[in-house]
Amino acid sequence: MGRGVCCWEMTVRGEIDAGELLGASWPHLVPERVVEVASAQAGCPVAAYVLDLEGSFALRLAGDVERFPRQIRAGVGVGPEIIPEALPRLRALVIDLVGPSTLWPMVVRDRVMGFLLARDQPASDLEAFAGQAALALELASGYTDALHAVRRRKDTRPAAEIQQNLLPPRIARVSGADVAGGVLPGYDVGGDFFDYAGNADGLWMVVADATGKGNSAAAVSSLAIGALRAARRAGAGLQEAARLADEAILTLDIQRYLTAVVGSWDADGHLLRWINCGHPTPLIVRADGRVEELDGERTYPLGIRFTERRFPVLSTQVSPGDRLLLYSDGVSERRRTDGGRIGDDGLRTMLGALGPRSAAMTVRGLQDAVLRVSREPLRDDATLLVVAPQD
Amino acid sequence: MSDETSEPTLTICDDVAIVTVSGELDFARCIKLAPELNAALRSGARAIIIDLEAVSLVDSSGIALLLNAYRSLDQTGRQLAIACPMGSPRRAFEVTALDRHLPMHETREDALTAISVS
Repeated sequence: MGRGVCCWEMTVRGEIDAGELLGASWPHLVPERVVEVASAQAGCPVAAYVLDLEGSFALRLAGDVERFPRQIRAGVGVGPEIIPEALPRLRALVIDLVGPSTLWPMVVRDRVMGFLLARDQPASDLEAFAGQAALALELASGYTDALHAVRRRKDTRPAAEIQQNLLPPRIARVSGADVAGGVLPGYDVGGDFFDYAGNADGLWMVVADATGKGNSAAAVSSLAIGALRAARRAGAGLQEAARLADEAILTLDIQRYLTAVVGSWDADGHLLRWINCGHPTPLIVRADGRVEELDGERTYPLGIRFTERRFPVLSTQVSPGDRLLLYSDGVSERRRTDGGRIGDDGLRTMLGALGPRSAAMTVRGLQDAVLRVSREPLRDDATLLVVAPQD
Repeated sequence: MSDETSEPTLTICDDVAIVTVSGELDFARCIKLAPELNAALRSGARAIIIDLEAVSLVDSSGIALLLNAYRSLDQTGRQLAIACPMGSPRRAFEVTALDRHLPMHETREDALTAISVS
């Protein structure tokens, strides 16, 4: 592997891109390589950081262990992605801990997957390089555990590990809307998931919760997400997708069920269509701040059969300025210190109290509020998915 | 809250098994309820009544437990009746749309009547 001279030459010419970063190293060495090239370009030591699974700590991925702290407490993420609006706060937290420093976010599309950090005055700006580094790291991550391992502050349970790997990017802009989703706790439980896809026929979305906890819940969830994705990719409609997931779970025959909201939002007509299979009622914050419940005819959870099975489709307008919230009962059933539960009313109040903010900041704000009601760890997955149509 | 409530009980009268539980039917209480419920299922009773009259709230673990009881009874052709008042106790059954499919009754008396009629 060419090191030193080769790297310096590329740096001087300013030509190094993600492909070269990836191609010149084994996947597990890409983080070291990123830091090496960044340091040469900046003329001072640079470290690379990523966030942990719960978006609460920045963890050193590569860089001098003497100069750069192993972890920086910073609740600025949704899952392992940094909320763009929280970057000023992240900079302030980093400066508090390490003193004057320069931070460049590593961004893939809208996704801030980490940052580069220099403590001395850098000789050049690493903004463009940070983008290439982000791409190289994301791609390398498909071949090695190097990034995954650093992102895990604690051991993950098998069910939680499956769950983490099923989830799509936590923060995205697709099909005319900002989308943000998160599941807490990141290291334990498992059984909930959210999913979305920006397709030609609109923005597909789902939040689901398998009954029970742990391994069998993860089995139900992973099969259901497979069925829903397969249906979507075969061009199926909402009802067909729900039916396929229902049938898939029934074949497991393990007495586990899945509650879910499966929906699709059309960016042109601003129309949301959804099916509620025994799941908590979605909420919507209208542009004027009113919080509404998206109630209506619902069917029972997936994976059970009574005599008849229909999937009633409901619809409503969701326009720019509105925010749609899908969530699981781990949010509303969370126990407060006084013994009561957050409840549906409590969640509506929390949502209203946040005021206007982006999809990602809404998810993080609700996660913080849910965690704050008690010192006890979460006993069940608390999943949130926010869709905020944009003009 | 749950501390003030009594333990789940099972009484078998004629060929009807009645399982009674109080407080919040959450994960912790389900663990206590499950042995009583299993005993009722094994008892050979013609019908089982699950009495939730003194339950203040049912959460997702409670729903899963009751659904599984329903399924195993249904497979053996025996009858189930759930006594669960409207309002907070009934809420989880409404959210999951199971109130329209499980044999729900307002009171224990109603549940007993439903079973003896059929």
